[in-house]
Amino acid sequence: MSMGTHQPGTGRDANRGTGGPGRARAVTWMLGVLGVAMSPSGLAAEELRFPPPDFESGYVMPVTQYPAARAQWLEYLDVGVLALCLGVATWLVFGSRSRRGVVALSIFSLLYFGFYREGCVCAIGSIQNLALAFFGKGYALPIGVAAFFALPLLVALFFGRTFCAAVCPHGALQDLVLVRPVKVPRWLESGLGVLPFIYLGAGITFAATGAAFVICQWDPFVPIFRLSGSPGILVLGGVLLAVGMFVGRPYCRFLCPYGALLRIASALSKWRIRVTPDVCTQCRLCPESCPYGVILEPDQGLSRPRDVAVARRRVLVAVALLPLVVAAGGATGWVFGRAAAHLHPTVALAEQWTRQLPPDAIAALSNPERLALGRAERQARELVPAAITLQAQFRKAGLWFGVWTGLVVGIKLISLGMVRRRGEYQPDRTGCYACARCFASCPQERIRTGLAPVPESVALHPNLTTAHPVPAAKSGGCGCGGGSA
Amino acid sequence: MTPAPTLEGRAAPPTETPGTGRDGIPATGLLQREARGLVWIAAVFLVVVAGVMLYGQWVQPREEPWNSPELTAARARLHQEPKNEALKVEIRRLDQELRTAYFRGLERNRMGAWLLLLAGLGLVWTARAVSAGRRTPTGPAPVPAPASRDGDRARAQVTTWVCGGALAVFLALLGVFTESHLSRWETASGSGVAAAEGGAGTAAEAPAGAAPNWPSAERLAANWPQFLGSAGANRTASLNLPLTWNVTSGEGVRWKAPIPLPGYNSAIVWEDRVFLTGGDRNRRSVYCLDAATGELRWERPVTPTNAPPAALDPPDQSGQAASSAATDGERIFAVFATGELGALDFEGRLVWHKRLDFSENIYGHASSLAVWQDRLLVQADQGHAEDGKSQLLAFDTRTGAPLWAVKRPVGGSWTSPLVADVGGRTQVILAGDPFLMAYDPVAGGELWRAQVLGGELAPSPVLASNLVIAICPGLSMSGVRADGSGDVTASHVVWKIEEDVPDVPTPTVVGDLFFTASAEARLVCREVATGEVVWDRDLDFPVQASPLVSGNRIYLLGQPGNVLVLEAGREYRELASFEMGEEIFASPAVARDRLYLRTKSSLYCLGAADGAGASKVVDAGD
Repeated sequence: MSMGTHQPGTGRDANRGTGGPGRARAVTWMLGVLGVAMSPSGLAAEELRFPPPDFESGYVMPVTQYPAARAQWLEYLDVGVLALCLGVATWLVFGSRSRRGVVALSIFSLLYFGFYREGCVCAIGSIQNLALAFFGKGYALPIGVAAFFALPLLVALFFGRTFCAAVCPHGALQDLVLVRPVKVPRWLESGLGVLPFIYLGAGITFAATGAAFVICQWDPFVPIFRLSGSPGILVLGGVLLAVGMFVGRPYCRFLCPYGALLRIASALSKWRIRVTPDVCTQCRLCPESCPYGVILEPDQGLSRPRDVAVARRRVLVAVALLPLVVAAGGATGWVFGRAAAHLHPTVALAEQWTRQLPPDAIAALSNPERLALGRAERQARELVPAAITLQAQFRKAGLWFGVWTGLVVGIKLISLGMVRRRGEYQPDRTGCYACARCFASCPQERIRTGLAPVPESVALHPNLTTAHPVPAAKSGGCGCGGGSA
Repeated sequence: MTPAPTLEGRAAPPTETPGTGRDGIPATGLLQREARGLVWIAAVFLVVVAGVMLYGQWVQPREEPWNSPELTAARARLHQEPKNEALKVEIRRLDQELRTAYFRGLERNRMGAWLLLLAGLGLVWTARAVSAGRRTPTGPAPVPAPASRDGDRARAQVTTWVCGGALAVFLALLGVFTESHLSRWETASGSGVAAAEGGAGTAAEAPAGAAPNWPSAERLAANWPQFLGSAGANRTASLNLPLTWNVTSGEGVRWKAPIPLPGYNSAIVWEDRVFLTGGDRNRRSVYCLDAATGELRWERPVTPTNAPPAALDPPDQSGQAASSAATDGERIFAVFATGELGALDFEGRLVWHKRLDFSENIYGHASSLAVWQDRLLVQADQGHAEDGKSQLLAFDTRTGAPLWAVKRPVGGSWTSPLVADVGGRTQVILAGDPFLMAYDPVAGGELWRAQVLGGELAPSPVLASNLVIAICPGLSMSGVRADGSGDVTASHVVWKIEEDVPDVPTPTVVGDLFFTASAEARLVCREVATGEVVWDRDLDFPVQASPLVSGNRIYLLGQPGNVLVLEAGREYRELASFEMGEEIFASPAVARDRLYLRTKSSLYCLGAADGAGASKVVDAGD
C-alpha cells in the first residue's frame, strides 16, 4: 500500500510534501471537506545520506524505493483517476446496475491501482498517514494521500461502499478470484466483524506513535502487485487468495481497517443499494446469489414475551459489562504498550544497545550496538532517555488502543442483543460491497431490464422501468420498497 | 428460461444463459469442455512453481554476497598476508561468483513471480469456467426460523467474546513476556544513562567487574602515548628530569640515536619502547627504539606498498611526517601526509592499514593522532569550510574498522585533538577555522561549538580547569567554558584577547597560570581565569615546540637548539639556559624520568646516567 511505504524514522518518505507542519495540520482538519484547495508542492525526492557517485561506465543506480517518487502532477492524476472510478462505480451500481460494468471497472482498477501503481496509492494505508500527520510532529500529509483517504468515505456517505465494489484493487483482486463461494455462518461472520475495527485501532496506534505502518507492512496483496516482497507476506497473500476462491473477500470482511471506516460511513449513507428498485416479492433468491452473505431476510422481530425478555436481558448485561470490558481492554493495552514500543526504531535501537550491558558496567565500545548507534548518528546519552519517553508514550497509546478495542467488543455485544425489524430482503448496508451480483438474481430486476418477459398475471408497479437510488429514509423496515406503493 | 410466476406473485429462480457465468463473464465452449483438465494443470503448475520458489528461498544463503563468511574469512586472511597475490585472485573470483549467484537468484525469483501470476490467472479463469458450467439454478433460500436467528445472535456473541478475549490474552502475554532493558537503566541509578555512556567523567576508568580493552589511567600517565602526553597537556609527573645536559660532553645524555628520515613529529613512549615516524616522498616509516639503549628495534611502513599518491607533495616546513604517532599499549598507530594510516603491533607487524584522502590539505596533514579507549581519532581538516572536506574519524584500534565519521564545518587546520573529561563528560575538542568544537567520542555527536577561530591554525586546544584555551595564530586567543551545548559563542566565551597571541606552540598550563611561546620569540605568562598577562619576555630565539611542564619547571626548547628552564610561577625566574646545537621542532616526551627529545636528525634520551632517582611506576593491571 502506497501510503504505507513511508517508514517512520527512516528519513525516506516519498510522500513527504514540501509543505510545513502548519499546512499539514490544516489539511488534517479539512479532511472532511472534499474541496481541499490543491496547493502546489514540489516533487517528492528521496533524501540520500551520501550523494551517489558519477559512474563513468554508465551504470545507473537502481531505484530502491517502492514505488519510485513521481512528479506531482502524476499524484494529481491518481486522484483524478480515483474520483473518476468512484463516479463510474457509483453509476454502474446505482444507474446502469451492471455487474459486467462492475467487473470491467474492477479489472481496470486492479491493473491501474494494483499492478501499475504497485498498490501504492491506497486508501487503506492512508489511514496511517493521516494518523501520523495528526499525532506526529513534522510530517506533512500529501494532498494526494488526503484525497485517497477522504474521497471513498465521502462517496460512502451518500452511496455506500461503491469504492469496494470496483475501485479498491484489493477488493477487485479478491472479487475476481472468487470461484465457488461458500457461505460463512452468520454468527461467525458477525463475531469476526470486530477484527477490522481492532486492526484499525492497531494501525492508528502504531502510526500515531511513529513506530511503524503495520497495515502496510502486513498488507497481503501489495507484494503480489509488485511481484516482490518478503516470503512470509507473499505466502500470506497466496493463502488469502486461495481461501478467497471459496470464501468471498476474506481480507475485506475480516481484516480491512479502511473497510471498518466504510462500514460506519455507509451506515449513514443517504442512498442504499437495493436488490431491486421495485417491489420486493420476497422470492428468497437474492440471498443465495450474494457470496458475502450480506442480504438479510425480512425480520418481524420478537413476538413472544419470553424472547423479548431474554433479548432485553442480553442487552442489559452487555451494557452493564461495557465499562468492565473497556477497563479490561485499557489495562491489557497498557501492558501491551511496552512490547509495542519495540516496533519503534528508537526504542528498538536503545533496547538492542542496552541488552548486553549491565547497568553498572561500561561494556566494550565496539560492540554491534555501539556501531549501530554510530551509524544512526545517535548518542546513547540522548537515545536511552528518548526511548524511555517513547515507551511511556506507548503505554499511553496502548491504553487508548485497549479502550478502543474494549469499546468495539462491548458495542458489538450490545448490538448483537438488539433485534431490528425488516420488511423485505435487503443488503446490509454496512457490509454490502456493491458487487451487483444480486441484481441479476432478482426476477423483478430481470423483468425490469428486459431479460425476462413480463408475466401477464403479475401486476407491475408503474415505476418498474425506472431505476433510481432509493433514499435510505424511505426504505425502512415497513416491507415496502422505496419506490413502491 | 423465463421466471415462472407463482400464486404469491413471486418469480421462480432465473436460470442462466448456457455458457455464461454468474457474473456475466462468458465462458467459451472450448474452455467449458477442457476447463476441468486445465484447472488441474494450472493448479499443479502453480503449486510446483510456488514450491520451487519456496525451496529456493529456503536453501539460498541468507547473507548478501558481500557478507559471505567465506569471503570475509578470505579478506581477513589477506590482512595477514597482504602480498598473497593468489589469495587476491581467489577473492576476486569468489566475489564474482557470489554476486553472480545472487543476481541470478533475484532473476529467478522475478521470473518465478511472473509464472506464479500467470498460473494463478489461468487457475482462476479455468476454475470459474468449470464452476459456471456446473452451476445449477439455485432455489429460494430457506427462511430462517426465529429460534435459529436467536441462536445465531448468541453464537455471534460468544464468537465476539472469544475474539476479544483471545486478543486480550495474546496482547497481555506479549506485554508481560517481552523483555525490556530500558526500565533497568531507568531505575538502576539516577545517572544510569551517564553510566551507560561511560563518559560521566570517568572515561578512562575501568568499570567494576568489567575488563576494559584499553590501558588504565595510571598506565597511560606513566607513559607518553600520544602527542603532548596522555592528557594532551604536555605535563609530566616525573620530577627528576635533568635540569641541564650537554650533548657535546654527553653529560645527562643517556643515548642518542640517528633518525634517517625527516619528520617534525614528536616521540611517544610505551614501557621500554620509543616510537616516532619519519618520511619523505619515497618512503615513510615508523621507528621503534629501545628506550633503555636507543637501539633501533625495527623500522616499518604502515602500508604494504608505501607508495604516495602522485600529486601530493607537501612543503618542507611540514613534510610527510608532521603527525605524531599514538599507541593504545598494544599497537602503534601512525599517519602520514600521504594519507597512509596504519597500525603495527609492538613487533612491527602490520595489523591494519587505510588510505585517507588529505589531498585538499595545502601544507600537508599535520594533526597528530589521539587514542581514546578502544578507538583511534583522526582529525582530518582540509580545504575550506564550504568545501565540506573536513572530518573527524574514529576507527576501532584493534581492527581499523571505521566506527563513525562526522563532517566538520571547518577549513583546513594543523592542530591535534584534545580528549578530556570536562563538564561531566568525555569530549574530543578540536580547533578548526572558524569553530572550536567538541564531540562525543562514543558516537561522534557534536556537543558544542564556539566561533572563536580563524586563519591557519597550528596550536592545539588545551584544557585549563574547565576552560579550553584556543588560539587563532596572530589574531586572538580565547578561553571557552566546556560545559555548554550547541553554539556557545555568545554564552561560554569567558575571555578573548588579541595581544601577544602565539602562533605554533601549544600553551602549557600550570595551576591558574598558562604560558605561551611563539616563533616570534615571545614568552608570556597569563592568568587562566582572565587571560590577563602576568609577565612577558622577549626571547633570543623562536620557539616551535610546545613547552613542557615538570613539577615547577617549564622546559622551553628553542628552534635553533636553545634550552631554557624556568620556574613555573608568577615571577620570571630562569633555572637554566644552554644550547644543544641542533634544531628542535618537536615537543619532548617524558617517561620514567627520562626526557626524549627529537632534534632535526636525532633522538636524544636525557636523564640520569644509571637511572638514579627514577621512579618505577607499577601498573594496577600488572
